[in-house]
Amino acid sequence: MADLFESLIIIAPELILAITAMSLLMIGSFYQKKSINLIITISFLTLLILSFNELISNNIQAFAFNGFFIEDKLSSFAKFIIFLTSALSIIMSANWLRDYDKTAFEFPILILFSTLGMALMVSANDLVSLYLAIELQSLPLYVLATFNRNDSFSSESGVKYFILGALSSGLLLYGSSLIYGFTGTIFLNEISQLTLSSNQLGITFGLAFLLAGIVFKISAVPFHMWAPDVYQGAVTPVTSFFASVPKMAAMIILIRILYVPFDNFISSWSQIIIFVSFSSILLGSVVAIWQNNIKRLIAYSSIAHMGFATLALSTGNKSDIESILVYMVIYIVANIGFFSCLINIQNRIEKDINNISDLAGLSVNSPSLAISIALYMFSFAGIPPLAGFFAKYYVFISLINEGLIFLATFALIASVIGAFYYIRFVKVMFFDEVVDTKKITFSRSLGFINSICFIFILGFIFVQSITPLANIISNATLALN
Amino acid sequence: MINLPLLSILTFLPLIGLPFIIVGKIINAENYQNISKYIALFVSLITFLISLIILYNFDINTSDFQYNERFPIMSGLMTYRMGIDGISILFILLSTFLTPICIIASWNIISDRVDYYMCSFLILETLMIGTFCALDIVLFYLFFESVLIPMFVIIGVWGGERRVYSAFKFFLYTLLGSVLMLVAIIYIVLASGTTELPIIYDVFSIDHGIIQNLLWLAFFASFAVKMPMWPFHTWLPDAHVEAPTAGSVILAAILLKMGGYGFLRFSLPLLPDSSFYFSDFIFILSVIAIIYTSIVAYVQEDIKKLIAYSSVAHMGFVTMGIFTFNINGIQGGIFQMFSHGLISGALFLSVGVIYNRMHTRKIADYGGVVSVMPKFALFLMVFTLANIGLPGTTGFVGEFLTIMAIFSFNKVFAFFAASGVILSAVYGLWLYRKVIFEKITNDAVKSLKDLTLGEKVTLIPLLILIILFGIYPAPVLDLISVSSIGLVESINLSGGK
Repeated sequence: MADLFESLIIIAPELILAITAMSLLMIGSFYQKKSINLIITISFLTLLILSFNELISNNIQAFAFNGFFIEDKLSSFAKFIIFLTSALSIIMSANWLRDYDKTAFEFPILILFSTLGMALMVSANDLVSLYLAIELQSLPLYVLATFNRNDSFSSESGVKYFILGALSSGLLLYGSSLIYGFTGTIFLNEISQLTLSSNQLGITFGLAFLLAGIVFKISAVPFHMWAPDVYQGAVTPVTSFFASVPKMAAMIILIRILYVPFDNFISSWSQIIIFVSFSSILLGSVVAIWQNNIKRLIAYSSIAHMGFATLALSTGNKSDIESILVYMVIYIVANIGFFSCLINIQNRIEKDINNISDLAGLSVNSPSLAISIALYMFSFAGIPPLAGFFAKYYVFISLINEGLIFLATFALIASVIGAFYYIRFVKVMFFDEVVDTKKITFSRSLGFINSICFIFILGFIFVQSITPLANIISNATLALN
Repeated sequence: MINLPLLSILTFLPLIGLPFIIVGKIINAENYQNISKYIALFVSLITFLISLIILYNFDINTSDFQYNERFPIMSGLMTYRMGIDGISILFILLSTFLTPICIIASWNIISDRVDYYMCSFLILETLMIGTFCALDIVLFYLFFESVLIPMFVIIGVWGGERRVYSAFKFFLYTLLGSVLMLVAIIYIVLASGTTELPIIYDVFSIDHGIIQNLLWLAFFASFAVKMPMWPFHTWLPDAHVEAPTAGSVILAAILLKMGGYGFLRFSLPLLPDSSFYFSDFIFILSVIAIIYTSIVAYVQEDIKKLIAYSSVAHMGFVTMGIFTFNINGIQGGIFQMFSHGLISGALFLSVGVIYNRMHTRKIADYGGVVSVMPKFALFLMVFTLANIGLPGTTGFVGEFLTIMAIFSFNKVFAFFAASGVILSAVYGLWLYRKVIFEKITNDAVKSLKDLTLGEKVTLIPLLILIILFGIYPAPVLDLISVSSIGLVESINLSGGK
């Protein structure tokens, strides 16, 4: 009984989140449209408080439910980012939701459920909880992808996402069952002790399937096909959510799977990771050149970014997790910043922005928006002194430290190719002939989010020097040692 | 001596102008264009004054770094370390001197989004000064690379017809070179365990071999594109032609010098054996640059393109001088960079003067300008002769010193390099004849007005400096000599020379 009580304490944030989500679902289904402001406020505040709670939590390492669930610095840090980003996603969509039809209240609740799944995912400590958590985060995402029911693109994207997602879950389950079959346990830390004494080939086989399932979630090559269609079909606030939060969760579980149970298999999986990351960078950078649709372009860009982040995994050195975490944080902040601008424009002009050329002449009438977007684009391209440069810098330090100089060189050259499409945004907004545009100002909440992201990206040197961010990240890194 | 962090003040002072320009636009929306011009000019003049104070207190008798500032940032990832020696102070002065001139030169020319323009120039100035002040290898990279952003915007927004193509070419070309350098920088940082350049000088040593050569080539990729050396120069004519006048001036006068500065700061002291190993390679490329681009310059129909190619040729002297490994060559190379900064800046400003009146850069559209613009003809004559390297101008001093050094290094190369002087006379005088003399064939030329006050203000200081340091180069050479000697002495070739 005492065990159960302790476990409940450890898992309390997730419980609160689950209870909040379910009560809000009740409120929503009774009051529908009238309750939208209430639901937005409560879900936002809950997530904000929970993220703050993770930030100050002091858990070194704690297990709940007999090792089903682990709470350590890495998962705390991941949850802090996940909760905070989800909270921001809800606020960013608030204006759009208020004008949406009567089912709008489902949106924050779906995000809450998905966030719950992600929180459990980063804390998963056995193969079953991992699978359950991944499904819990995916199912709301499928629904979110089709959120705009009247749009055939949206429905198509949702169905596509669902089918491919189900396939990846199947692969994941198959891999898990192989690993269970060959080691006889589902607990991640126990697997690591048994891997050497078990059938190597069978475990490698299972690991490959397991990886396939997770790589699908971070949309890296060769399991990236869904991303462009889903990003394009989904409504912009959903795309913004897709591009940021689930990636963080999937990346953390990828790190955990690779370094906890398969620590002894580095030589096997590092080849897979090198292939995945390098081909993601190459494909994401090259294919995006021909894209005109902003969301498709962001999809390819996120494929390339996931490639860069996983590149630091290929070294097989635990201390390089720090580079991945820094990369993910910077990527997410820039993403949130960019989408806050995009959503703001869409709210103000009251129609969708599809192509890059729709942004033409933005610099004349709405300089703050244009400069913000340009900054995020330069950051994505990795131009110093912006945060995006440091993200890449950390990764390349890791790579070169491990002697992977040629991989680093090729990845950097690919990033120059990628720079081409990022600076195309700048070209459209600043260089092109001005079309007739009206002045667009920031709404209060989006302007606030944008300015935080702007300061973070522009002044990353100061952020890293003054704030405890670097400290938190290096603590999170130590969790796996 | 001085407790104020003068270098940081100097570097970041131009940024102070930005909030004032933004506030000026908010409170006086109608007249914001003039307000931003005055603010930018004022700030850049103050920056110039501070750089003079730094020069005044600069000790020319030591090759150590002066005005040191140092504190670790980014939780130990890098160090904010600033400091200057005789080599960098020259380029800092060149930057602070040319920025106000550029702002004056754009005074009545730029009418579209003036506030953006002025902000871009102030940001550019900060980044240029920072590049030359940074004594931390990562900090240097940050400044060196960030320059791309304002320059990309300047070419792309206020450039000519093909500005988008040129801006993209400039951006991607230089970025590609720089990322290779980044790999080398990270390697050096990891090998020496620190990012501070003065410490790296002491602790970093690597046997001559394939790794040192690769590192050298990585640095070369970046600096050769920036310089630009043949065959990596193709972005330069496009960028120069399409950039607005002031953009061309900064590009030719300062940004190209970052390549030469990089060779002096990194390639030579850090990788001496490879530098020596590749010196013949550099010489061959430089000779090709000098002869080939001079010939190419001769067949150009576009004035700015001609000057751009002439820049490539003159940079050939710089690279040859630097890689002779002797004191004359290095001093000559540095002096040549300084002199080319003044001369090419002056030439682009002069082209700007007639371009603003005629809105054409085609040589064929001009002819007979002397009869309507005699004062302008005089200025352009001095600048053209300086570009050719006539004794009595700065162009002569640099070329003379470098050719002398090359002669002691290798007589064949010296012969080819010296032929470049003749070739530069060929295209330089040809351009002058076509534009200034001959009969007036284009009616538009007849109605041209001579120099305005603003144009004189921009051209006269350059004219004075070009002649002053041409006749009496001692102050500049004194400034750089101790540091250059220090540099030459610090190069220990393991194989011996």
